[in-house]
Amino acid sequence: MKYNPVTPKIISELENIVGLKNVITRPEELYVYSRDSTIFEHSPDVVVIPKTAEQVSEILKLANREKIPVVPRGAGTSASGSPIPIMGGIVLDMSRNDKILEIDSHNLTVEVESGVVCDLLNEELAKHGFFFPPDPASSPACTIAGMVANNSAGNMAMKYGTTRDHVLWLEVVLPTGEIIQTGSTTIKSVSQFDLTRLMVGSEGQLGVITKVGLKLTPLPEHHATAFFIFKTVEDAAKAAVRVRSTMTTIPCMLEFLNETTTRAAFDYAGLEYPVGYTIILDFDGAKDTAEADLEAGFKLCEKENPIYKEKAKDAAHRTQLLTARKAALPALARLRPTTCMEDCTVQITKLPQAAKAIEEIPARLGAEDFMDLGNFGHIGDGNMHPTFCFDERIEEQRDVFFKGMDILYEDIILPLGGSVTGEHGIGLIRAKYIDREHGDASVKIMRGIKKLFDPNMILNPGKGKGG
Amino acid sequence: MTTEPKEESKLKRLEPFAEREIMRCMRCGFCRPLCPTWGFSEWDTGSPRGRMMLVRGMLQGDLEPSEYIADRLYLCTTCGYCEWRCPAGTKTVDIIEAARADLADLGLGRKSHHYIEERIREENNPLGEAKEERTSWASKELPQKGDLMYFVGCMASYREQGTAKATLNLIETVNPEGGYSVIGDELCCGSVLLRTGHREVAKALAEKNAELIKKSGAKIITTSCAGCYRTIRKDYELLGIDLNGVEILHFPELLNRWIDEGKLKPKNGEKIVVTYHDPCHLGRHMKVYDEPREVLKKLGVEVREIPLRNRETSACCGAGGGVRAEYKDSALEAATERLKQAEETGAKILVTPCPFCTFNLREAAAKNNIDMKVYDLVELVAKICT
Ligand SMILES: Cc1cc2nc3c(=O)[nH]c(=O)nc-3n(C[C@H](O)[C@H](O)[C@H](O)COP(=O)(O)OP(=O)(O)OC[C@H]3O[C@@H](n4cnc5c(N)ncnc54)[C@H](O)[C@@H]3O)c2cc1C
Ligand code: SF4
Ligand code: SF4
Repeated sequence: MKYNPVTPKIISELENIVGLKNVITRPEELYVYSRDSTIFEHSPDVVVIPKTAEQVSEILKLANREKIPVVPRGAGTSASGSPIPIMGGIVLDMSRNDKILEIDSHNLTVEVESGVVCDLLNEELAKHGFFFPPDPASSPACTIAGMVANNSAGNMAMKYGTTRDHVLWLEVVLPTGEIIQTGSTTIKSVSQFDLTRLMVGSEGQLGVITKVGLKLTPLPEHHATAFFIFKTVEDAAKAAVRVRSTMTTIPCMLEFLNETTTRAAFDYAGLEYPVGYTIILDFDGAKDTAEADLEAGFKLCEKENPIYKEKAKDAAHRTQLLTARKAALPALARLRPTTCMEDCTVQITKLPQAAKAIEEIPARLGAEDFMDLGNFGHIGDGNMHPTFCFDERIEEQRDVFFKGMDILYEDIILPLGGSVTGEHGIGLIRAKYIDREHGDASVKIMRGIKKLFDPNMILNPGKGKGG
Repeated sequence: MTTEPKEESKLKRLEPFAEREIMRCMRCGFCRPLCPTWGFSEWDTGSPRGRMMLVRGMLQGDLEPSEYIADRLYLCTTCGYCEWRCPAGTKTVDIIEAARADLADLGLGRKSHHYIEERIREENNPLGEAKEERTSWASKELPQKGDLMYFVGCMASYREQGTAKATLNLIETVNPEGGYSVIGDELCCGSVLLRTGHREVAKALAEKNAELIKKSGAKIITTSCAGCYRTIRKDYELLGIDLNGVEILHFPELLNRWIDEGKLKPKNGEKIVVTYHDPCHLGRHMKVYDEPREVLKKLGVEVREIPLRNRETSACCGAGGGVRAEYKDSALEAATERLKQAEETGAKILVTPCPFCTFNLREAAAKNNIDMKVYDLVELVAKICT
C-alpha cells in the first residue's frame, strides 16, 4: 500500500479540527512518540491529541481521503511494537482523554474515556467497593483503551478473565469516520454480531476507541497469599500444574518468576530471600474460605520441595510481593541495557517442558556471556514472558536476540501447540509467526475483516493481524 | 542507530550516564501518571519517561540540544517521584540535573535562573534581598557561636519569616542558657543552583558556608528548610565539602529528640486536626518521613494522611527544582492539585516542614479560595509549646 505524505496543508487541516495546541511536529516529540517498550522505532510525521469522538472522526475522514496512516496510541507501554507508526503519518495520542465519566454502582457498570489509567481507575473504584480485575503488570501506566485494543490480561486472568470479559460496550470511530457503539449497556444482548469482542484485541487496526463501558466486580473481602522458592524451573512449573489440576477452587493468582527475574525484582521490592524460581499463590473471597484454600494450595506446592516457603505476613508484605511481580520487566533492566519481553502460552500440562526449554535458550544461542534470560508470568494460565536482556546497541547482540525469538516461538511454543501471544498481541514483532499458528485461510479471513472496516488500510497499517 | 555521543564536549555532565544509566529506562511508563509536572504540557516529553528519552536522544546524537528540550527538562521539580517509582533503578533526578548543567553551559538555561545566580553573587540569596537584612526577622542580636547552629535558609530569612521566628523561639525555649548560633553572614545553601545546573557558584557557596559552620563551633547544624537540609546533608558531601563530622538534622528531627527528652511539652490541650504534606527534598530525597509526624502526634495533634498520596507517593507542591522561579503558574497549578488531595482528609489545616512548600501552597490556597490554612510545621509546634 502506498501512502501519501503529511503536507503542510494536512497539518493545517488537523489544526482546524483539534486546535493549534493539539497538533505537534517538533522533532523532539516525534522522537518520543517513535517507540513503545520494544526496541523498534519509527517516527510519525505529526502527533495529534483529539478530545472528542467527533474530532477523531474528522481526522479519520481526512486521513482516509488523503490516504495517510493513522496510529492510535494510549500510554505506549505495548510490548509488541503495536503503537509504533512504522509507515509514519499521524499518531493519535489518546492518553489525555482520561476522565472516569460515570460509576453506576446500581447497574454495576463504569463508563470511561479511552485514556484512563488502569490503576487510577481501580483507585477510584475501590472507594465504591469495586474493581476492574484485568490487572496487567503495566497497570500503573497503561490505559483502558490500550488494554481493550490488546485484550490485556494480568495476574488475575485465571479467575476473572481477560479484558474482553469485562467490556460491555465501546464507542468506536471507524477508519472511514463513522462513530458506532458496539454492544449494549445491558449485561446481556445478542442483537448484534459480537462487534465488541471483535474490537477487543484488534490492536488499533479496526477502529479508534473513544469510550469504554465496563462491568464492575465487587472487591473480594480477603486475599490469602503465599510464595515459594524452588531450586529448579521444573519444580516450580510442576507445583503450578499441581495446584491448577488438583484444586477445585481457581486461585486468584498463580504467578511465576524465574531465578534471574526473582533476583532483580526482589531487589527492587526490598525482599531478601534465597534466590530461585518463585511461585506466588493467592486466593481471594471470604476470609475463612480464602485461608483454607491457601492452606490446601500450600500443601500441594510443598510436595515439589521448595527451598523456601512463606505465607504473606500481612497486607504490606503481600503488597511487596505483588510489587516485585509487577515490576519484573523493568526490574530486569537493572541487569543489562535492553530488555525485550516476549509473550507465549501453552496448556498448563506442557508448562514444565516449555519453561525448561526456555531457560536453555541462551545456552543454545551460545550467548551466556552477554545475554540474560528473564522469565516470568501468569503461569496459572500457561502464560509466560521470556525476556531477553542484552545490549540493543550492539548489532551482533540484536541478531542473536532475533534468533532467540525464533527458537522460542518456532522450536518451543508452536511445536507444543501453544500460542505466540497470550496477551501482548501480534503487533510488529510476532507477525512472522502468525501464519504458522493459524494457517493461511484463517489469516485471509482476518485480512478480509480488516479490509471491510478499513478499505484504504489507513489504521495502524503494517501490523500482524490485519496486515 | 548511533552509539557514541555526537559531540562529546557538549554534554560532559551527561556523558557518564550514556553507557549504562540512561539505558535503564525501558519506557514502562510506571512513573508517568503521578509525575506532578506531566500535566503542565500535553505531550509525552513532559513526563519523566519522555524526559529520559530526550536525554537519550541527545546522548545518542539523535536529537540536538534545543530550547524545546531545555523547557521540558526545566519544567521538572526534581521531586524524585519517578526515581522512587522506577523499577529499573534509573537515576532520573541525577540525569535531569546533569542535563540541565550541560544545557546551562550551552546557553540554554532559564533566564530566571540566571537572575537567581546573579542575585546570589551579589546578595547571597536568590530573592535579591539585601544581605545585610538577612536576620532582620530577629528582634535582637543573635549569638554567633555555639554547639547548635540554626541554618535559616533564604526563604525563612526573607519570605516565610514566621518559620524563622518560630524555630528560634523553640530553640530558645529548650536552650534558655544559649549555646546556639544564627549566623548573620549565612549564604544561600546553593540548592536552587544545584537543582538548575549552576554548579560552580553552588560549590563556592558551599565552601563559604562550610567555613562559617566551622567558625561557629557547631556540633549540630539544624535547618527547618527541606531544600537546605538535603543540600547541606547530601550535596555538600558530593561536592567534596568536609564539615568535620558535624551532625546535620532537619529541625523536626531535633524537635522529636527534645520531646522524647522531656525538654518540650504542649502548653495547652487544644484539639488540633491537621493533614501533612511531605516535602520532596525531605521525604523521597532524604527518607525523613516519620519524625515530623511523630512530633505532631506526641504533641497531641491528630494527623490525617492524604489518602494514597503520602510518604513515598506524596505529590510535589510544585515549587522545587527552580520551577516556581521560571514557571510560576505551573508551580501554583501543582500546589492547587496537592491542596485538593489534602482536602479529601477533611482537615482544615495543612502543615509541612518546609518554608518553600508552605509559601507555594499558601499562595495557591489564597488564589483559589481553598479553605485550607497552610503552616510550616515549626509554626504550629511553637504555637502549641511556647
Ligand atoms: C512493564 C510492562 C508490563 C506489562 N505487563 C503486561 C501484562 O501483564 N499483561 C498484558 O496484557 N500486557 C502487559 N504489557 C503490555 C502492555 O502494557 C499492555 O498491552 C497495555 O494494555 C497497553 O496499553 P497502552 O495504553 O500502553 O497502549 P499502547 O501501548 O499505547 O497501545 C497498544 C495498542 O493499542 C492500540 N490503542 C491504544 N489506544 C487505542 C484507542 N484509543 N483506540 C484504538 N486502539 C488503541 C494501539 O494502536 C496499539 O496497537 C506490559 C508492558 C510493560 C511495559
Ligand atoms: S519508571 Fe523508570 S524505566 Fe519506567 S519509564 Fe519511568 S524512568 Fe523509564
Ligand atoms: S522528578 Fe518529579 S517532576 Fe521531575 S520528572 Fe520525576 S516525577 Fe516528574
